Amino acid sequence: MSNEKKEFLFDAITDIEDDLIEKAYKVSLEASSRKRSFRKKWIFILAATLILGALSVVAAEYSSGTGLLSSYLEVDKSGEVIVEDMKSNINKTAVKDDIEISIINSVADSNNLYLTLSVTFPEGTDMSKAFYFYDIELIYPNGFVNEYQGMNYNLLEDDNTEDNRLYYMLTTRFEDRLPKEKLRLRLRELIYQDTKENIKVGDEIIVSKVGFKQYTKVMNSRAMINEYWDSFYAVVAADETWTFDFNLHYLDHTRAYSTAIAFSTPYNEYNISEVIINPLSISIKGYSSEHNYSFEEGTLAEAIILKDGTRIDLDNQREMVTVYDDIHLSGSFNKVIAPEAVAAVVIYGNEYPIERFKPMTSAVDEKSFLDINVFTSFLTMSYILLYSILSFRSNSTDMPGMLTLIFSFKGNSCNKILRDRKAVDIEKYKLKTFKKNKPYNIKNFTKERKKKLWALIICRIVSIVGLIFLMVMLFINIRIATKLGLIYTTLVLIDIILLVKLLYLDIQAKNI
Amino acid sequence: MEDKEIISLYQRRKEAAIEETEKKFGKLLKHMAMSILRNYQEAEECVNTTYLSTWNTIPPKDPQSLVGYLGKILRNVAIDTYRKGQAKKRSAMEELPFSELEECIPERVDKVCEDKGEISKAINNFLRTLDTPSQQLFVRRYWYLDSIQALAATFNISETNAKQKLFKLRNSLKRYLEEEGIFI
Repeated sequence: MSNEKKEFLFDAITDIEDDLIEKAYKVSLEASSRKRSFRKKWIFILAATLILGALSVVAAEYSSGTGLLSSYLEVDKSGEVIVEDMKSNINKTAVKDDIEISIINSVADSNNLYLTLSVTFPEGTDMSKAFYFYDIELIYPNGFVNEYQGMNYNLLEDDNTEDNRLYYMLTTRFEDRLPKEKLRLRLRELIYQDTKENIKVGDEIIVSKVGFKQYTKVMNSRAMINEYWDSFYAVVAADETWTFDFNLHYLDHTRAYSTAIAFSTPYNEYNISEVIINPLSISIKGYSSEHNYSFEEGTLAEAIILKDGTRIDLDNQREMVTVYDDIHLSGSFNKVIAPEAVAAVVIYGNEYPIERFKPMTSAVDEKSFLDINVFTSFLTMSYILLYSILSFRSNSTDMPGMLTLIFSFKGNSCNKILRDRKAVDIEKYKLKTFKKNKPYNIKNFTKERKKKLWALIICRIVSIVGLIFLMVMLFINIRIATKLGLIYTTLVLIDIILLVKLLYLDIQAKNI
Repeated sequence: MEDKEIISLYQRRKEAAIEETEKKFGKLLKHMAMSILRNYQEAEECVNTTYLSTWNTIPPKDPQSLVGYLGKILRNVAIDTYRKGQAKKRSAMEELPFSELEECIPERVDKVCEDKGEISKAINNFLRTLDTPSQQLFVRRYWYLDSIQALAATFNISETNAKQKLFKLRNSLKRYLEEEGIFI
């Protein structure tokens, strides 16, 4: 077909009527507001209007993390294991105004949070109404309110249409790391939407009874009427606040890489310095050299490629540019993935293999942990031997102080590594996981790891021999021998515990 | 600032009107211009011409929808610029979303509609037959020229889903135009 004909049609489409254009403009406003403002009024209603139209979800096993996620994400067998790690049962209930709301469970990784809610209405409620919350806040212990992160609000389709219960899923993605601590979720004002033609600012709306305590709310927000809907208003069904305190738990599967990707578009040059992949989303950080970001079409972060060749296009991409031209691209996956199964990321049409990226977590830390252990063990051993010889001559009693210093050095060094370590989560090292993954099985060790392990074992043996030597040497002086022997034995036991813990950390670090 | 307040600034001949227009719609207009022209400089000029044209026409005009008014001016200016620049062999019309329009156009050599108004009317009528999300999706794609990724984000659906919906919409439009006896 010739360009003339396409242009002809283009011209014809230009003359689409204003109200249709305005309506389509509003949907975009709504979407951007949804991204920008967590608490902004009405977002949940508008989002839900869209989502309800597009989403048909069957949520079968609400108590199961896998069932929950698989209701709208693809979860394969490897994904199921990961989801189990990410899942945490919450089961907190609050009843206000005869409406019972429960948080059933959470599924989370370092950047995503999914919360399943059930809302049980009193008998006689008109369940055909679309109920939503007017305001939702997620509050951290330090008082920070998650008010700018976009949150989707999905009504899950329930097999049982006879009961008065609805299931909702709150999903949000955090640009920063999701804190694994006590959170507070506050749901305020349960409302439903209704329409009436030619509604005007200040008009009084007579609300029909919906089955429980009735409120009448007059739509008096000028901004709302002007900005969004002319014939739309909300009815407050329950003017209450439901508050839930819960602890967020998840085992982190995040993998973080430092990169040196450079690419350019017709408008900008970009440098990507960090790629963070977790089971549900990817986060890409860097900076741009120009100020023309607003001209970019579409999104820069496009997809990931798995090792089996599967391409997973990113959904719900977000792109943030700061005034300093730092860019932060992110997107979520339509299935749960194992981050270690990712082979490449696709940015602006180019594939970048992960193997070319430098892991930000394991390699350096792994070496540091073992090196510190070896170093402190030799230090301990040397000091014991030296002290044994000296004490034979002088009966000095400085050894406990020195050992304390050595252990203190070891503890501080390891803690520093832990603090510096990015995207590594201490929960990862739970004993349960330790047992489950059997990282202590020597068959799973690399050659280098085996060598270092042997070095540590030798260190310990020498230390114990040193202890025996010390005891024998000090046997002549029973008072000092008893005192120092007890202290040293305690310290050695502590050291062994530390060693086991550090080895465990070290082995786990490799798997991140 | 509300659209009506911006229009009021134009009517009172306040230069802040252009500033407020740019603040509110600048990015959108640039995006639309770039989608048609694929040229940064020309897109800038096109947007500036749109501001000037708006300044010159309000008053006497009193648009009901400012975004619609600005967008229509911009699309007309941009397509004119595109036509003038065709010698440079730019291929915006070969690219998405324009290439998709081919699928909507029923062809018949013996019966060609040359009245743009008639087709516009048919498209508007077609859109009125759709549910609201489908209307919005169509307008966002072919009037605002949003990318598939942007549509997916806006409508909170997957890109595949967005493509499928658009495909169905194009087919529906084609059928509708055929039923109305409109061929190009």
